[in-house]
Amino acid sequence: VARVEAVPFSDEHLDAAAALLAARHARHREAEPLLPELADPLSAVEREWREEGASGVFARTGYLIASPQTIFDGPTWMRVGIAGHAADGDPETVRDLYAAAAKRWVDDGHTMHAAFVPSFDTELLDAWFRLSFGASAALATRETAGEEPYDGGVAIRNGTREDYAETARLELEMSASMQPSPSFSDVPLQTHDEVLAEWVEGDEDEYELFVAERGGRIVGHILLYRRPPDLRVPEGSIDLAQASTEPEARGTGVGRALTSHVIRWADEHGYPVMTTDWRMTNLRASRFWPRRGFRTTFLRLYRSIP
Amino acid sequence: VSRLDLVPFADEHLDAAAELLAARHARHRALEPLLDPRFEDPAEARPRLEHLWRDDGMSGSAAFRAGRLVGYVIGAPQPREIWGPNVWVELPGHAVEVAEDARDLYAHAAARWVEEGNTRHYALVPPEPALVDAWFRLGFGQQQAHGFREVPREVEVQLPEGCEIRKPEAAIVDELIEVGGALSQHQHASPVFSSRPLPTEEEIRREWLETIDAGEEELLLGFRDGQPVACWSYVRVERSRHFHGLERPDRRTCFLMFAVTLPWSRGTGLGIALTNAGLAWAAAEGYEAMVTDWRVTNLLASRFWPRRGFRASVLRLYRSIP
Repeated sequence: VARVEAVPFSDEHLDAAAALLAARHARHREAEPLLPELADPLSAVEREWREEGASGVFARTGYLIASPQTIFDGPTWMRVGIAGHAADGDPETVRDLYAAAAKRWVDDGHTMHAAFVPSFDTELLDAWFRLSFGASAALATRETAGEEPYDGGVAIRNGTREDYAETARLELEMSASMQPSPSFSDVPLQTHDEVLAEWVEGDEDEYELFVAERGGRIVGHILLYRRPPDLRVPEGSIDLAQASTEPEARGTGVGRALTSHVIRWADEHGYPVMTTDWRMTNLRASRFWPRRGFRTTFLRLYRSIP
Repeated sequence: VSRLDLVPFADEHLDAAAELLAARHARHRALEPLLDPRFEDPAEARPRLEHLWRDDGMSGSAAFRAGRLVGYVIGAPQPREIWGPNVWVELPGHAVEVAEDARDLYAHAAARWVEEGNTRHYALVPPEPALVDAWFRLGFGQQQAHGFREVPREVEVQLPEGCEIRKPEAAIVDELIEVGGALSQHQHASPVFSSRPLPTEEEIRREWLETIDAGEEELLLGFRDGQPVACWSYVRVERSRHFHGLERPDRRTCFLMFAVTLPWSRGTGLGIALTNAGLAWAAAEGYEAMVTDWRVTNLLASRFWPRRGFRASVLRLYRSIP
């Protein structure tokens, strides 16, 4: 007996879906006031819906849309984006919506499913958990004011183009650390040249690089990014997009020193909010960032069939 | 908090691990009072743990803090033809003092499991919120629930109009093929997506005949307008794979092994009648507890059984890599 009458999502559902998303986001903002206002929920839903290969379902009380996403020639996930679903009332509705939508995804050969779910809604998270989804990543936010310097035995300075070879190496170390247990990332590792090319070609106006030196060597870096605003990224905020510490120096205070430095820098330079993200199965990261004051806004959940 | 040191699990850890297991069982019993209190004694928990540890292919990790064992996780593969390239962490296969340590233990143990090609991981976990959350943050979602409930002394069975409950006979086995295959069909579909092959008609027919002939199951068939549309099967708990040792109630227990209703007859009250008829049978047979299990991705089952009084007191969690 179907509890929810779901139909394939189509253009005619955009307005109603936008209203559902606006209501969800209003509840989310009550729990996390740093989230921005959602001025244009219709555009937010439409962006998810216009992604290539998007499909989903709509019901009177909720909607769910996903689209195929591939990272660095790795596997393709059918991913529900941050504006890709909302339900009114009983969180259990999402299980019916997923059941209706996922049939097509699996029929189309998409057996890896991911969904960004507002983390304030524990009943909603539980509903996804009972669809066999586990937590694979977190998106988070915090205020930037009031950070004391931390003495990590490093000298921190702004990075320059001359540092890119080293920061590219550290970025690769970070990616490589996602491959062993328990992350078991199957995203193929780029070469140093590929990563370096991205650093060189990046638009410097969008980024702020900080490096930490110990004994004359770069042992850590943080890259801040002026991320375009969306329903989780406020206008005028800055994103802690990359952070890496030399493997041998992990746990020695490099990350703490860099983090307190960039939070203070952001505060002094007019960025009241900082966002970031981490892999939940990266044990070190998943413990480090909440201790640095970051509060989770969305969890990325993942299920692989079988 | 002092550093966590991780080493491969070994015989020398059994005594201290049994202490941890007994303590965890005590916490588990606070959540599920039907569980057997004797396993709160490390001397009773230890043989269960050691028996598991001696299973083929068992491996795992032990965690120490300041030289004291504070947790362990051990697991072994089950038949690949059913579970794929897998490792199972059974209920006595893990215990921790601090829930978060389960993540380090899994990380240490799973490195070997994945290296050996076993990428589908199953774990039976008590419903302690912090512990479940720790596994959730390792990428595990819930796949199955093991439910427990008491058997009341008296149960009223109200049959919906046009329905009756009968025992099956070999003579009508051809009429039972659809009922026999309905659960597999349902679990093959979204959102369960079970990868078990669907049984053929011949296999279903043979299973019915063998089951009826063996006479070991209390089979209750639900008929609507003279047609068989549902089947509930009750057996003694010894027939179940999971409900033994730490997971078995401390009193006479039966196992609701199978239950299905044909799609067009769902939501009509027949399932409630069959459950109550089963409880009445169990009471008459002197059973004091009933256990069952269900796929939580089976939306109908996962909503139906808790409403029938079953408490999901053991969760089967699952992670597939990638």
